[in-house]
Amino acid sequence: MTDDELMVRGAAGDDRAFQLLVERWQGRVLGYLARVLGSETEAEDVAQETFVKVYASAGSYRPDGRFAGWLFRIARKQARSRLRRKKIARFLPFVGSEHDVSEPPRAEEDRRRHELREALRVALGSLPARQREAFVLRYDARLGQREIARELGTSVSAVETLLHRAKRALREQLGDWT
Amino acid sequence: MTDHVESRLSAYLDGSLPEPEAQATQAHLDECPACRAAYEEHTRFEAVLLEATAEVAPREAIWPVVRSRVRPKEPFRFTLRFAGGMALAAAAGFVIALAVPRPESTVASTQTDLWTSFGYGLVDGTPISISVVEEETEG
Repeated sequence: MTDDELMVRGAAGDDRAFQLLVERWQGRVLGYLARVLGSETEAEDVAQETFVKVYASAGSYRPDGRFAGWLFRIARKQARSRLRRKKIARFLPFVGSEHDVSEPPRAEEDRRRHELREALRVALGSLPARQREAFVLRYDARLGQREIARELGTSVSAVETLLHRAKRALREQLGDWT
Repeated sequence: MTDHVESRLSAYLDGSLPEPEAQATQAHLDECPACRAAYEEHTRFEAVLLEATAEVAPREAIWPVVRSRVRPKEPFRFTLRFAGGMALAAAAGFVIALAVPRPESTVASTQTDLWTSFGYGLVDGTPISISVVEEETEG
């Protein structure tokens, strides 16, 4: 069943549909929020707020095949709001000591991924904000370039350039991982 | 390799090139070893990025928390269970109301009425306590 179908059913009072939607997207939303907020614990908090908002706003959702963009717009707003409450003036994820950056890996087999994730966090910190935001929307949120362009209020070709530059800079710093 | 070509390769890998451009890029990769090598490097790095940005599993399920925060309050329904609860509460209230100490002048008669109504005996015109009754029973 598509996201749109689940949203329509959810808006009509079918909680099972909402549950499926949350379970389908929670890992992706958490990954995105953990990257932006720099803390998995906070990410879980904000992910809950995000899905509560999705639930509350279901009636206003138009099923036009753009659920992911809509969902991450909400997640992005919730993250901004959280950062604002923490008195961080700008939306600058992963910028160092202000953030509770990451938790230790939960299991031994996660170690490589944890270290890679941490290496990426450090590398992303050196990128210009715009490139970083495009990258996070593309990779952590897995949005398409057209959706990213809509979110950032720019053209698809501009997004393509932002992503290309971001990846070129990251490759220099993460080359050992390939 | 120019920025433009790398950018095209990146977009091709991303699957975001329009079909005619994607076909042309594939045709070029088939013929050009330098671009093919660059493309393979892109592919390896892309795999690293995807691994580094894999989904994060929640420590506890999110749905139950969300559900509990958005669940509308149950509409009021008068049920037998509710009626039973109300009756019990009324009875408890009645007992408490009778047990609350009154002004001196009314205590004796009230207590007498109370204990009489519950079937306990009186000793010299004053109500006996439950413990006294139990001791006498055990004795």
